[in-house]
Amino acid sequence: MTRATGCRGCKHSEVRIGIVSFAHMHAYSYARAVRSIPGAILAGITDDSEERGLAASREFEAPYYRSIDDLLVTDIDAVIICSENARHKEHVLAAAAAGKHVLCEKPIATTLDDASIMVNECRDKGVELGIAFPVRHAPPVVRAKQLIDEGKIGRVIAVSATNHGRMPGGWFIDRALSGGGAVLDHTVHVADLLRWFLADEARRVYAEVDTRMHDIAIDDCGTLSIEFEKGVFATLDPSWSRPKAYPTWGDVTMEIVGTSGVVSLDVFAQVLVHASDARNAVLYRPWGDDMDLALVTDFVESVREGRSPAASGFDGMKALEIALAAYESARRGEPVELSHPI
Amino acid sequence: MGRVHAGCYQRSEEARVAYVIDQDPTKAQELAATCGARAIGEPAAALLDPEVDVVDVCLPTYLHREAVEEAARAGKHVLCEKPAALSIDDAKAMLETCRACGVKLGVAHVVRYFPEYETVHQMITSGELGQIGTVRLSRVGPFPRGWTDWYADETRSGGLLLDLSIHDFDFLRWCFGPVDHVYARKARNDRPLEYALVVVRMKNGVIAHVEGSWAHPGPFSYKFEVCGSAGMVEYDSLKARPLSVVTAPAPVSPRGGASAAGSGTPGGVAVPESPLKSREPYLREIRDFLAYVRGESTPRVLPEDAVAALEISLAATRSALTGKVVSVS
Repeated sequence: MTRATGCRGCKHSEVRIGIVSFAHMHAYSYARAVRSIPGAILAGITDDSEERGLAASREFEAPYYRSIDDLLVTDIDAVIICSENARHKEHVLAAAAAGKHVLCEKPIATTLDDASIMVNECRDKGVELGIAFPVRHAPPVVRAKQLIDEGKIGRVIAVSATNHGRMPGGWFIDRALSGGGAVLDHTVHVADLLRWFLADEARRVYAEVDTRMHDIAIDDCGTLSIEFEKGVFATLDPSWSRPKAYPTWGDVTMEIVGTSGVVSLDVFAQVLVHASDARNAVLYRPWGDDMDLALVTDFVESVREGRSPAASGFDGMKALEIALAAYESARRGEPVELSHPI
Repeated sequence: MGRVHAGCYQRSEEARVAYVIDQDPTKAQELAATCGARAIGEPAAALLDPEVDVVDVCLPTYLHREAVEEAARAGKHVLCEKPAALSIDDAKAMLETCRACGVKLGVAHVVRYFPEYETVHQMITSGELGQIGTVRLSRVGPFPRGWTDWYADETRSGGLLLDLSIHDFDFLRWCFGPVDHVYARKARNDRPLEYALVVVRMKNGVIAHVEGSWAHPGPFSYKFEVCGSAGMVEYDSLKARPLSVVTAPAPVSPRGGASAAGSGTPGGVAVPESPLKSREPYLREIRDFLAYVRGESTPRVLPEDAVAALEISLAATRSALTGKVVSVS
């Protein structure tokens, strides 16, 4: 194992990272990732829930700071923000003002105005803003992108995609904190992959959105139809439709149809099927690469090398635009045209 | 499809095939020989034969109306391959002619007889899955190459949404009742290929997605997923493979050439099968129709169902053309 030497984007030989909030459960996986990356240090934790923050501080052996400002005055280089969606803006702006690079959990924000302010502020303050789209780093996804770019299936004409999940509960179903339900939560990952695969922007979005499977006051299901500038069309099912009894949390699948072939992507298919008497359940046990580790590694390297992370704040904003257009389409009952540039 | 239906009549032990009608004498004779029938090039002899009760029409879609009405006027009951016709006017005219002539019309929406679809239909209608939220239906395969390439001609086949996805539209109606509106995108290419993704909103609120493909070079396959408040069901025909046979590649002779091919399947390629006996869908479809003809029962698919499925296909086709949401009456 080689130790990192030199650091263009930071002040030390090591990249020092703080985590802002463990409200989103991905924070735990990112914290583990930071601690396992040579040359990266988990240098501090802040959380508006002191109990949650202190527990994380003990688990990950990093100092706890009562307020984000206390964390931001330390000599950290960057923060990973895993607060509730509606609080991303406040935390990203604080980090930017303190000159810290940011990796922000998706969706970037709950409104396009907020996203735009965040992107501009980070640019003006000279800090990188990355958005946590870990699926871009999953090796089957990287391979699919390579096959498409090589022209293996000719020209891509359409994509049928899903990003199913379980109904997460908690603040995810509190509109004031989440900004939206399943359609916001699960549109942005695949929207980002589509933009990346196609190197194109969406121009039109149609969607059906509803609450039909859970007794909650926010959308739990829907289907989007998205058209891209160059004519490719895609559909996406972002529903929280996986029952508790399902053997895994959900999926990301893409049927990518080209003029001379098809790429069928099932990102989380690298599993064992485990029948557990102890849990009275059949479970999928993943054995593929850890994409959260790859995401955080890319972020740490971007800070060290003074470059942009794989998915930028702009990418986060464009993915959000598609999700918000889906809600607008469902309200209006017709396709929504996206204006460019935003 | 004529070959499949002929086999089912023979196996049904409720009917026998008396005539095989095809303008290609070789095709007609080949099939006729397998069921002890007479091969003829034109329908007249069969339509004049008082012993004939039923005419089974497996012609390309654009020829359905003429053939069905001719049979009806000769007093024969008719089982017609899906889709019933290319237009609502044609389909309604067929129904009207059959009614006026006092003969029964069946339209072969065979998916309703596929046991996997029957099983999930039963789970949906029994309430076992709770309130249904989303349904995903998929039917994909290579571009079909029919007689004179009629599938590639939308004016004769109606295209993918009419010919293939109509199975899934009919299944949605069977499970959930009428459709409210559709939004469809479709691509065509000269390879040739057709691919369509259709968002369907049922009047009862269910959100459905239908994928239809004549762009998949691999084996023909179909999938579904039904998600409700009390559970979900998923199915993939490629995974339901109780039997698969793979044969060793033909040995290569020392001189380098492969020995003469014995069997029709290439060595080293697994050929899956899903054999059924009493639940074989085409056989039960034929038996259901024969019981209807004998006046014993109402069939699972009424002619009106075929018209309604056609309306959804045509609405989706119009949406794909215009880029607009299309209401289904």
